[in-house]
Amino acid sequence: MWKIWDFIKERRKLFGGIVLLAWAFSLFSAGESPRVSPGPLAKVLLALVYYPGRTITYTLEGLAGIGRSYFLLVGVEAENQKLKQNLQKLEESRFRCRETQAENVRLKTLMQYSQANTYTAVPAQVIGRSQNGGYFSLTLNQGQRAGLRPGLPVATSQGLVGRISEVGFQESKVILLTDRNSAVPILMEKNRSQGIARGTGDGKLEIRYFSRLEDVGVGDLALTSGMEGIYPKGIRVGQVLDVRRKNFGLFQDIWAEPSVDFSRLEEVLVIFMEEPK
Amino acid sequence: MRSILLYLGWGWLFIVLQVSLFAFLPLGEARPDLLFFLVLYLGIEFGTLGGAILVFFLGYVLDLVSSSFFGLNSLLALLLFFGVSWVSRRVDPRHPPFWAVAIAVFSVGEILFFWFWPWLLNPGAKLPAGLFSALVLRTVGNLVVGLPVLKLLYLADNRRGRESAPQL
Repeated sequence: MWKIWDFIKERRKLFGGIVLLAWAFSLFSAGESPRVSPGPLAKVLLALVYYPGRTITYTLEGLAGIGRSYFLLVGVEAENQKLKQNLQKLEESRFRCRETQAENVRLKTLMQYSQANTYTAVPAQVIGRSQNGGYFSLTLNQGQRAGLRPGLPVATSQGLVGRISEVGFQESKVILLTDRNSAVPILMEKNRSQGIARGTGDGKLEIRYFSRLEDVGVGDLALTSGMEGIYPKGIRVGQVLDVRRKNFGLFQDIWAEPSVDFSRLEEVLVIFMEEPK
Repeated sequence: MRSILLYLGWGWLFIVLQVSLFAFLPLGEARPDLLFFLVLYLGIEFGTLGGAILVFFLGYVLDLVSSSFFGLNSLLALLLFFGVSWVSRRVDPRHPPFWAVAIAVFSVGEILFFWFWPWLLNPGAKLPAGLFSALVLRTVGNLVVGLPVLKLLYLADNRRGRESAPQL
């Protein structure tokens, strides 16, 4: 018996190792099975690691939190400025989009008007207005470069605007229908009788040389007659506002409202009776 | 007895740091295993039965605290300890490159064990992807942290006076 004990004692490291390994294997082989509630020793061991570990973790998380908050505050100011700038850009962009959309609709209408007629037209934007006494004019953003020249009629889908009086390299001036110097040969849509529409200088048209014998009433539509070869035939000029038929003379006094609202003009068509050069 | 308490203290400190500080650091697979270094050191310096019991105990504590598979750390620590002490008896363990080689070799062994034991238990199971990157990262992480830790343990022992340090 003692011999066995001595044998084991002499090889205690080997036997101790085997016992430890066997124990470790037994723990390991039962590893995934549900663990029973830890005993008192295990609880003490857990507490010895858990509380200092928790203290370190909380401290680190606290420090990290402070760091994050500081950098967050520093970043928030910069981010705020950046967001404000972005918002401003977006607002501008949105406004431009809306304007482009509206412009698109207007241009489409103009194009449809242009296509519905046989003549060639060049679209132009109104970039200036002038009203000096009874003289009305517009400035367009197209000039010689687009083939424009004095005398060309200018219209929109609503009706006649006027004619070009001066042409620059990239801009041109338009005398409006309502200008005192403007005179447009017209005919009445209803009875095809002819006259001349002159600007009165107060935003209205006076239709002259209209026979006293012709029947004309308020609301009748006046169109370009195409006489003199300046304006194409059939463009709306205005609507009769007032008719005064005197008991004497050859003609009657007629006043008309222009078909075009000049105060809202943004795009127009410059009409070519032939192809632009 | 003082020596056992000292290494228990080291073990406690390493386990606490392992489950708190090192768990907090975003190191991923490169996160070093502090207890691994202590086991390695004990295997190199004190390959005795007392050392084996201590190592088993520390593995057991780590199992209690953090293991998802109970008994894995106890067994691994023990196998590592016996492996290192077996090698140490055959080469000069005080030779400086030995530490680096030991860390690298046993890191690889540890990772392979971690990755392959489920496969050994169930050979039909598919091995998870990323083994090579895990091997490289963990080995590099262990080398970077392990060499200073081993040096620290060695210096702490020498400061006490190696001759007077009771053998485990």
